[in-house]
Amino acid sequence: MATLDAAAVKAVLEGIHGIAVTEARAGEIARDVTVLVEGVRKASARLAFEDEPQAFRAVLAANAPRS
Amino acid sequence: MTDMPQAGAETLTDALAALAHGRTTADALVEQAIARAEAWQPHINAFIRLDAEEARAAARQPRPGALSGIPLAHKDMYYRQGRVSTCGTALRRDWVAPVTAAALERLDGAGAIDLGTLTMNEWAGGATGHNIHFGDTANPWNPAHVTGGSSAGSGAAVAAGIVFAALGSDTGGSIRIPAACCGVAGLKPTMGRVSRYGAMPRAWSLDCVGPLARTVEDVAAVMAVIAGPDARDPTSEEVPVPDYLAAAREDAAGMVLGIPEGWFFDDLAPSVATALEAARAVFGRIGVRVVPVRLPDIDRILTLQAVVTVTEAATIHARMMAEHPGAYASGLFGRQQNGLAIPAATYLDALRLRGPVTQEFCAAAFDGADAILVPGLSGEVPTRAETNVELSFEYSTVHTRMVRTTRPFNYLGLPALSVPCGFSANGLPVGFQLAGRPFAEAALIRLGAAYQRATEWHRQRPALPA
Repeated sequence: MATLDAAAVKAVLEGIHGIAVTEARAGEIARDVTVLVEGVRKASARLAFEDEPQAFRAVLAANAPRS
Repeated sequence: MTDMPQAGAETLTDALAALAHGRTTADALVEQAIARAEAWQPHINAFIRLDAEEARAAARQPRPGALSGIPLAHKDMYYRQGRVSTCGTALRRDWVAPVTAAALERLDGAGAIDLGTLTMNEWAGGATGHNIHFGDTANPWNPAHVTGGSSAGSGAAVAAGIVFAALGSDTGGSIRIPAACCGVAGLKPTMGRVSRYGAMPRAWSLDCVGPLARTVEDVAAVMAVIAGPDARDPTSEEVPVPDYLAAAREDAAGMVLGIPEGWFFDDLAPSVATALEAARAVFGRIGVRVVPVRLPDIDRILTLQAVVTVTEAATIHARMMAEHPGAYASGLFGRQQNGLAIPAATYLDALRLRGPVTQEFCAAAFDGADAILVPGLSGEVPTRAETNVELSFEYSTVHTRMVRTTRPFNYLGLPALSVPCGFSANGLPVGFQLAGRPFAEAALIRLGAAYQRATEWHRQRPALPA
């Protein structure tokens, strides 16, 4: 399982966004985000090469009631 | 409330009928609303601003329309040009909106009267009704308990009988949670059904505009006004709007209601489970065929929804978080920090998955059913003290439990209607959700209104504290 670490989180929040974060809090964020990243990585195994976000709206239209 | 002005109507549709037959007036309805707002405010803190004189002036010059003379009030994140819209944050305490929200324009056009702005979680980023800037909103059924959020004032003001309906917004359950906690009806429409133009964004892929009201029929009356395409909202869909009020008055016999196996009904409080079982039985008695359905993995949907929410919210707030870190509640600030660390490819994969995951869910849930029934909340409505995340910093735990059964439908983009169905062991309301196909709000309204014709839960009213 790929993991983020506190140093990487601190670099992004402070270096890119200018938001100060303690080492301890950066570690918490790293743990929380790693869980989410891993969840999406597993789910994305089903994605086709051509899938794109805009397809969602077509799925809504296709599943609407037929009147 | 016997010494207060009484307008002779307790629901929106009753009020419309009373107005039509000359049994009441817009003046009387507005005076009733103002008196109740002033009496309840010290106990529940539902209003950020009460525009009493403006409402009285509007009542003296009613405009024609489907909601002519009906006093409403809305979550303080619907912009009205030239008026302060706080969005529940001190950062916008004096911020004047540059445009008027499409939903407000449509309600104005239908002749509704705007009574003021309602409390909410800071930046619509919470599920309890706590707010460090404007004070917590308290549940009219018991002010020691939360209203749910983030449309906290909307739930409280409708439940207390101050206004007949109120707009909320729903990114992860922010209409349906306060509806369930406060014992009123609330509808999160399909993504694209109601224009979000002029509404504060929380997470643009998920945000929905919708009403809370005392009955499902009243929800239908508001939806009839606010639904429909709007070129100013890029997610707005050109889908015909059915006659929601006709749907609310239609018999539901012969419809099919799916009850999911497993996940949604895991970990229910016993009194919530009892109320839901009773609701299921009512549907059977009114001729609705109740069938089991098996849904795909919901935990996976929750993960995807969380990634989209925190990434988009963090993106919106990144600059303000850097410039004004002390202006955010710590719990909200912390959750948004998480979003800044999500890799771009992870966020985009969560969005790419939305189409196939929604297709899979619709096939499983609706191939053999018109709608599914799931809990509003898994547990009983908690107290304000035990969910005060600013004291405990158990934000993640509290938030996750409050939104567990509502969040999936935001990711899926599907409509979901919260309907009150009883009271739990602690005396607070219990609600169920009806979720349906995309743009099938009319089916949910038909089922929900039929349920309310067979039950009395929606007629229960909290008593004004002494």
